[in-house]
Parts: sequence; structure tokens; C-alpha cells
Amino acid sequence: MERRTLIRQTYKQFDKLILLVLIGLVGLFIVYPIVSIVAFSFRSGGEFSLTHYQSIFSPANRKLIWHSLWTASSAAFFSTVVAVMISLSAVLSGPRWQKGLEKAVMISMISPPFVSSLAFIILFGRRGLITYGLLGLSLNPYGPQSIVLLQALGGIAFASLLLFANLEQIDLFQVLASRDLGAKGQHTLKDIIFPALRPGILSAFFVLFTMNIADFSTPIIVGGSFKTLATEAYLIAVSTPNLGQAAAISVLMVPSALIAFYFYRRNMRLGQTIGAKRSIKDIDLGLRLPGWLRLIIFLPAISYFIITLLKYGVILVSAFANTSSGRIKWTLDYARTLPPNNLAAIGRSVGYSLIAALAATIIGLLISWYTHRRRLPLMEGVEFLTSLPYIIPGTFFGLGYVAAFSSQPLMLRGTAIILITNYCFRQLSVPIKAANTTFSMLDRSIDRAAKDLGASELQTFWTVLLSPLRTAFINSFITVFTSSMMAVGAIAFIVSPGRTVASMELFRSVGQGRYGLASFQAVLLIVIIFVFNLILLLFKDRKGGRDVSRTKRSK
Amino acid sequence: MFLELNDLSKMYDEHNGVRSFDLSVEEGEFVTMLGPSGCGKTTVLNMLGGFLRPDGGEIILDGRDITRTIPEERPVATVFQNYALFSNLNVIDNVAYGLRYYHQLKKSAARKAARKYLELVGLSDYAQTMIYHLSGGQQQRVALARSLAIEPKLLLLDEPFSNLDAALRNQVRQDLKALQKKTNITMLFVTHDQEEALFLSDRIVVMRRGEISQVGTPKEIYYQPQTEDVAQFVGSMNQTLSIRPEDLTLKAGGEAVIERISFYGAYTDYLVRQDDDLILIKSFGKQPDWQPGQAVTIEKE
Amino acid sequence: MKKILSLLLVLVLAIGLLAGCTPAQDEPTPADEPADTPEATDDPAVDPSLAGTTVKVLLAYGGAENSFEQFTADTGINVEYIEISTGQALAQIQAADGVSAADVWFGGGVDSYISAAELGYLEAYVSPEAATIRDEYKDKDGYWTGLALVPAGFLVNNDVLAEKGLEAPQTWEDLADPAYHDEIIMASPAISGTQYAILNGLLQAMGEEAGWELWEKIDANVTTYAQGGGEPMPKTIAGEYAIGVLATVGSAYQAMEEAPVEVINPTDYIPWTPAPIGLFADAENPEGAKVMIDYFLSQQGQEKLMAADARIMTRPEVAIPDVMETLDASKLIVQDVKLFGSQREAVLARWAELIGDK
Repeated sequence: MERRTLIRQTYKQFDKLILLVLIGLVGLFIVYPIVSIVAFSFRSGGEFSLTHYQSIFSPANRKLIWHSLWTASSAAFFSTVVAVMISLSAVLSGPRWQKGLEKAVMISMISPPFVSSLAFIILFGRRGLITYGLLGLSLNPYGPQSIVLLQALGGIAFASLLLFANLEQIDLFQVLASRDLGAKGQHTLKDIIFPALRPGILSAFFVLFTMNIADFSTPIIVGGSFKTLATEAYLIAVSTPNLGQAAAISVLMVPSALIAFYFYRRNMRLGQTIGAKRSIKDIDLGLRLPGWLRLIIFLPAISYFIITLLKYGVILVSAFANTSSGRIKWTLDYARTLPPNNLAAIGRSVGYSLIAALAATIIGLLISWYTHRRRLPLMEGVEFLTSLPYIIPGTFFGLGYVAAFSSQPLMLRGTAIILITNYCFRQLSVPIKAANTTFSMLDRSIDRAAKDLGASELQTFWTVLLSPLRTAFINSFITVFTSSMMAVGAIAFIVSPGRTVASMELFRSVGQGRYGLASFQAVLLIVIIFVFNLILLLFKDRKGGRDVSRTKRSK
Repeated sequence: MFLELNDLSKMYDEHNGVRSFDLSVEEGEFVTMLGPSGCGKTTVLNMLGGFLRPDGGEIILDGRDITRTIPEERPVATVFQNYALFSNLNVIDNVAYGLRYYHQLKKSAARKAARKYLELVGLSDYAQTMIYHLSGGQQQRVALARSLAIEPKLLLLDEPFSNLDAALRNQVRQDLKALQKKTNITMLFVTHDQEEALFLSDRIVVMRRGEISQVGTPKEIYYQPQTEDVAQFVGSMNQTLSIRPEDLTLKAGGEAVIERISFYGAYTDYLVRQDDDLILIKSFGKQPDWQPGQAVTIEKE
Repeated sequence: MKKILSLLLVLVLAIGLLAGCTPAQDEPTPADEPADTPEATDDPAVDPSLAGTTVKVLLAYGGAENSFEQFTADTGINVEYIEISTGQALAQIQAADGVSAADVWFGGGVDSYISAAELGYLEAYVSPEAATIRDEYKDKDGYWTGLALVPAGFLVNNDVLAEKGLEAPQTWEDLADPAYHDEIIMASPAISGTQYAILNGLLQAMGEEAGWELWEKIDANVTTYAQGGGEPMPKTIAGEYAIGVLATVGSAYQAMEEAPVEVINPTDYIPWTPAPIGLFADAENPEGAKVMIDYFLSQQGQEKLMAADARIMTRPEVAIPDVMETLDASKLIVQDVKLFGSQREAVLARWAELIGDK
């Protein structure tokens, strides 16, 4: 009897320790760097000053704000619309197609920076393969419309995945009941499925909006003379010694993120329905729709995949051919001129990304557990903090790390740790959100059952909750890994001599204008990420266990 | 016959499913499909609802073959086990749903007609309430009203009371039976609770492992079980003596010994050992002050 | 099958961790072999105790890495470098409050060096090898010394010119010809050090009034300014534009082999910007850094550097590379690089006014 109490006491202490460690990590690797870089915005000439903020609403800046707002929202809107179509396509197709669709969407997320923009220019530039080579037109592709187009394309995959998760929360029986009561396919879609998607739609829109506002690489390449807040901040940072001003401009991007977070949280709460639930995922709902409606729904989805394939195709061609002047000349030159340290860089990318993915997933799951399952109010605040790195442009999160970790006792500059932690903590919200979704679908009674049988909190987590969290775990792992491999903004400032990574090499080639080489490096990167994704996805399918907590009670 | 199920079958694999299911139901009849988990009762229900396509056989409802008709077009309504109420709509819109889509009424006309059915289940005051504010019992009634509203030719109920507490269950059973008599709608009910089946049904179909064990009125099923498992499943049966516990009685003194006494208030169960057999006796009313170990004689009542 | 996949996953993770845990490496051998000509090893100032140490370099000098191996062979000092634009590097150092985590700053935009010196990030070091270098090419206090001059000129795409029926421009005045409308690509001087040098250099050479007049006319021909210094070259090569205004260094000449482009050194003025070298105040290996600075400012070192990427070196003893024969060195603008820094804000402000929305 005493031994059991002693063990329980130990687990309790351990439990508290883990909580403290989590909070400490978030504080150290998220709050501290952000505060450090924001502090810059309050400095001018070495002392505290508000000059940067005074000029922040200058007419020039106001124009930038307006530019940013409308391109970001337009792009987010289009992404969301297409993502809704893709989700509906999933709902209307059989289980086999659904699985395939989800995987295809995840794979289309493998898109190293600049690949889309590059492909776009190669195809539609002033001497683009299509506009010039095929149609003989010499159009100017640079401008806000291209920014919106490319940002919209880039956001579709992410929004779709978010909506897929939303779909999982729809009750199968409500759909059946609707059909049972005579509602035709389009009515069920309108009255049952669409309202259920609404929170996810809002959530996706605002998250995308935030990401678009912070995106600086797309407008730089295809924006032409159309400038946005993010590009302005970045350019000021790298071409003037006026870091403070750049930091101040970045701070402007925060309010939108707050709104995004608010809607996201509302989405999570509304996902509660009553009684035992069977999800509509992987089931053929048998909804029949009129032909024209099916066309409207499936067309954007199909187009998206065609465009994605085209994009990969173009980059592949561009890696092995000289595409200047609208003609194609095959060559292996780019492969040959690959800088010798590129392979080592790739190795480092993979290593750091894997470690970061593992760390992020574990830490993220734990944080989600404490926040949602254990319902500790303090952790709600912590969860909000983990969303912050997404809000500010990656470049500033990176600079924050430089500011925070360049002196003793936290001298992490020049080590692998600073890169890994940057990857890890920038993406922390991904596993957290995934785990949140899983938790919202698990009945609380299984926790209570475990505790009732004598398990401590930790034991409950380990034995009972870990298995259903599998999917969330693996999906998050893949996402964080992929994003880390492709990340450029944040780490541009924290790579150090001898420690460059593959994405930076790509960034450099693009910066030097060596588009052929960049294409080749992009292809390498895509292939490697793809291979790892494949391995991890296979792993997920093989070992998939059935989720007993979600099965129907009796036949 | 109003409803005919002819040679209906659906096999998921070699062992699980429904085989050669034959049943005829009259209009206004209340038929229960009764059996343990996995016996196939829900499979039959789903085939009737149109959510499952039979491998073979046919379903004829009021003269029409509806075997291949999609659920949207069947004059059949289902009350699901978890009620499946539309959580984004309020009570009246839930009930009016079928009226709008099956009978194609306009929204306002549908709502008006729906009020009648709300009254029927006694929830008139809750028309504007959102679903998540209702209790389990209230939700169940809304589900019922919603299905009744389209005036289906056949109403299917999939263990609709299993989520309610015992006290409530009794009440809703009474209400359902009264409702059925009043509306005269043909109802097909699925349950594993034999008391429920006995109380509600005009006829019971006892099922086991995908096949029909016996079809009959409650009294027939209870007093004339045709197979051993029907006898065991509906009520209890002493196998060695082939007699129901309530048909036996005990007298003090004798060769048998009481092993266990279970007091249930209105009745008491005795487990008695006689010649290596364990016999169950059910006795109603006030009992003598016996203890386990008491010597008794078993007699027929 | 399950087991195989689990094993695969573990293997993958293990490889990953291993790859991630390897310590920072020296950049491996580039293509060219170390020359073993005996004259290469006679660097008098090399202190044998420095052999085996490492110098960390922030590099913004395209092609220079090819000469690092020779440096190591000659001095025994290893080189770890990272290629990063000076603007980015400066932002990084600023954020780190002066910590550069490097020893030597190699190449790039001189305005960053000037700012860095002002902010105290650099340490003054007057190399003995800098004695013969002209004053305009180095900082008088020794905070930076020019390694080479980066001349600016045009890269023209002959195919596009032919298509449009245009002649290649030969002078800066030519650029003002309205026939070239929308066929010129230039970087924004706010971003590109080279472009800023062109802007300011021409103003200094022609005088402010004439200079701004010319720029107004040229601006009329440009629809968009590139946001990256590296853009004009590939876009001209790709045929997006007929004329690119850029730094005419080795890579521009190399492009002529692959694409129908041609380097044109303007015959009226040649703007230039020095590619400097500097010593970081927080260098961990200042002695090794000084050896490197001395090396690349010495005649032999400069010759090796030039072999790595063709430029006009600052040491007068070193001849102009063959490939740049069309460049008339007498046309190099006489300018005060210090003014680049002090005038920057004013010039850029006027420029912003001039170009308006572009």
C-alpha cells in the first residue's frame, strides 16, 4: 500500500516537473527571442525611443499596409474557397479516393521556397515558355495579381488539411438522417456539411491571412514594384543598419494574428456534438448531386492538382535544361556545378529537421495535453504564445534568435542547437493543433476510467491516450519535418560558417540569379523530402491500429 | 401484407451478416427485432432504411419494390440510436426538415406543420430551443417527432432508448406505445432488451447469428419458445427441467439446498442445488425468512 | 514487413541524428587543385604557431572560395566560410548586439562596412600590404581595405536587341534613349550596393545637376526596379530584358559562353565599388584573420584571388584580367567612397522622390 502511494507521489512530482519544463521551454525559445527583437523597435541610436513607431503610419507605410491587407486577404480567400471544394470533393468521393486525396494534398505541401515563383516566371515571364514561347506574347507578370495568385496556390494545401480535420468531426448519422428525411445531395451539403465546415473555414482563412501578410519571398520575386509590409521590413533589415525600424514594421503584423487565433479557438469549441459519434471520414456517404454542381466542386480540386504537377514538371525541366529566351536546351550543367558542400548541407538539413520534428511533436503533444485534457488555465496562455512565431515574419523570428542567443550564458550562435530549436519552436503550433483535434474527439470518460483504475496522470497519458494520438503524432511529424526542410526566412540569419543547410543553398542560388542551379537544388530537395514523407506515411499506414474509443457500440 | 421482406440477405464475410430473412408485416403493426449483439438486427434495419444494399432478396412496401430505392426517396424514416439531431438547427427546424425536403413545403409552411408533431411529443414550448440545450429524453422525443413529421409508411427505431436512464425508459416506452396506437404507423423496432420487446410489440422476431430463431406474439415467444436459445434469451429457462423459474415454487424441508438468495423487491430469485443441478426459482410477494443452506423441495406451481 | 519498416524508420532517424550531430566542417575541396609552385609558399609573415587554427569568414565575394584552399596550403590556416550578403550579415550582427561570430568580413557592399565601423563592429587594421593601394580604395583609419574594384556596366542580350531592332548602348547617356523603354532592368539602389554606387558615382562624376537629369531620363525607361542585386543578370540572360545594369565581374563574362549576352563597359564613365575586407572587433582568431587580410592584399594573393574571379584588383602591380580588356581603366570614376556613406540618406531620398511609385 505504501509503495503504491510512493510511486504515485513520484509520478506527481514528475508531472509537475514536465509542466515546468514545458513552460520554461516556451518562455525561453519563443517569448524571449520575440521580446528581444521587438525590443529593437524601441531602440534608436542605442537608447529607448519611439521614433520608429512615430513614423509607422506615414503615408508611404499606410500604402504598404493597404497593399498587404488586400493581397493577403484576397489570396487567403481564394485558397479557402478552393480548399472547401477539395474537402467537398473528398466528402463526395469514396473512402479510397479520400485517402488518396489527403495524401496528395500533403505531398503538394512539399514546395521549397521560390519554386512556385520560379516556375511562374519560367512559364509566364516576359519570355516565358507559355506566354512567349507558345503564345508569342510578352506580358509583364510582375505585380499584385501574381502575388495573389502564388500566395493563393501556396495556401490551398494547408487550408485543405485543416478542413479535412474539420470533416472528421461531422456526425455520420446526421448525414444519414438528412438523406432519410428526403433531402437531396445538395441540400444535405448546404444544411449539414457546410455549416459544420464553417468554423474550419474561418479558421483557415485567418491563419492563411496571417501567413500571407508575413510572406516576404513571394512579393520580392513576382511583385515587381508592388511592395508589401513584409518585403519592406525585410529590405530595410538587410539593406540599412536600421533594424529597429524593420522590427517596428513587423510588429504591425501582429493584430491580424490575434484575430486569427481568436477564430481558431472558437472553431475548436464548436466542434462538440452530443452522444456517440461516428465520423464521416473514409465512408461513402452516397450523396447524389446534380452534374453541374459536381463540376463546380471537382473542377477547382482537379485544377489544383494539375497546376501542382505542372509546377513540379517545370522545375524538373528547368533543372536539366536551359530555358532562356523561351526555348529549351537540355543540359546537365546545373547538376555539375552543384557546390561541393551542398550534399553536406542536405545531410544537415535532414538531420536537424528530423530532430526538430521529433522534439516539436513531443513537446506539442504534451502542451496540448496539459491545456485541453488536463484543462489547466495557465496553459491556454501558453498555447497562445506558441502561435506567435507564425505571426511574425520568419525573418524576424530568426533575428530574434540571433538577438537572444548571441551572448553568454546562452551563446547558441554557431551551433546546431540554435537551428534545431528555431525549426522546432516555430512549428510548435502544428502538433498542438493536431493533438487538440484528436482530444476533442476522444471521450473524456476514458481518462477517468484509467484514473479510476489507479493510473496517475502520466500513466494515463502513456497507456491510454498515446495510441489515439498516433495519427496526430505522425501527421505533425511529417509536417514539421517538411516545413523545416523548406524553411528559409527564419534561418537566413542564423546559419553560420560550416553549418549551412540545403534550403539556404537554394535561397542563395536564387539570390545570385542562378535559376538553373536553383532548380536543380530544388529538385534534389523535393525528392529527398518526398522520400522521407513516403517512408513516414507508409509507417503510419502499416502500423495503424483501430481506434476502439470511436467505434459504434453494437450491431 | 403491408411490408414484405423476402429472402433478404447481406453477408459481410463468411460468418457475419444476415441470411435468408423473411418477414411479413401488417399495416399499423409494431414489430421488434430482438437479439444479442451481432445477430444482424441492425443490418436488417439499415437495409430497410436504404443505407445498406442487400446482396439478395427484396423489400416490398405498400405494393412497391423499394429494394433499390435511395433513402431520400423511400417513405421510410429512421430514429437513430444517437438521435442524430441537426446540431446547427433548433428544435422546430429539425422537426420541419423532412417536411421541407420530402414533402417539399416552403419553410414557413413546414414549420407550421411541424408544430403539430411537437405537440404530439409534448415539446411545444421548446420550438426555438437549440438542440444542445435539451436533455437526453427531450432530444429523443425531438428525434421521434422529426421522423413522424414526414408521415412515413414505415418508422424504424434503432435502440432509441438505450441512452436514457431506467426511470425515464419506462415512461418513454409507455409514450411510444400510446403514440403508435394513436398514429397507427407501422413501426419496426430494434433492441436487445427483452422486457422492452415484450412490452412494446405486437410481434417479436427473435434473431441469432444472422437468422430468425422465431417469430411470434410476445406471449407466443415467451410461453412457447421454439428453440433453446429463444427460451434462454427471452426470460430465463431452467434447462434441465425445461421449466421457467416463475413456474416453480419452494417448500421448506427436503433434499434440495438453497445456495443463493437474490432479493429484488417485488420478487426473489432462489438458486437451488438439487442432484448436481442448479435450479432457478422465481417467487413473487413476501418470502419466508430463509437463508442460504436452507433445505427445500422444488415443486411446480 | 512491419519489422522491416520499423527498422527502416530507426535507421533513417539514426542517419538523421548522425548527420545533424556532425560538427561544423571545413568547406571541402573545390574543383581546382592546389598549385605546388614553390613561389606560392613564401609568405614572410606567416607565424607557424597559427598553423592549424581556423579563420571564420563572412563571404560576399562570388568565386573567392576557390582561392581559400590555396590560402590554407600556403599558410596552414583553415577557412570556414558562409556566403551571406553584407546587408543580411549586418542585420544579423546588429541583432546580436555586435557579436559577429566570425573573424573576417570578405567582400560585399562597402556601405555595410562603413555602417559597421560606425557601430563599432569592426577593428581597425592597417595591413602592411596595403601601402601601395590607392587611398580611394581603402578606409583611412584602416577599418576596411579594398580587395578589388567591382566595375559596373551593361549586360545586353543580343537576341532580344536584334528582335527589337535596337543597338547596344555604349554609354550611360545612351541609356536615356527612349528606344530602350521597358527593356532595361536595374536593381533598386536602396537594396543593391552596386546600384547605389552607380547612382552616387555618376552624380559625383557628372556633377549633381547633370547627374540627376540623366537619371530622370533613364528612370523613364525603367518600369520596375528589381528588389535584389542578383536579379538583373539572370533576367537579362533569360531574355526578359534586353539590357541589364550590373556589376561586370567574372560571372557576367562567363555568362557570355552560355547565352547570347555580351558585357559592355561604358565608354564614358565606369562606376565602381570597392569589394572590401575587414576585421571583426570580436574576432576569436584576430592573428589568423590578419594573416588572411595580409595574404589577400599581397600581390601573390591578389593574383590568386583574381584567378578565382576576374576583377580589377586594388594592388596596382596586378594587371587587369584579360577578359576585361574592353574596359578602359581611365574611365574609372574618381570618387570619394566615404561620401557613399554620408550622402546615402539624402541621395536615396531624392531618388525615391524621382522614381515615385516604382
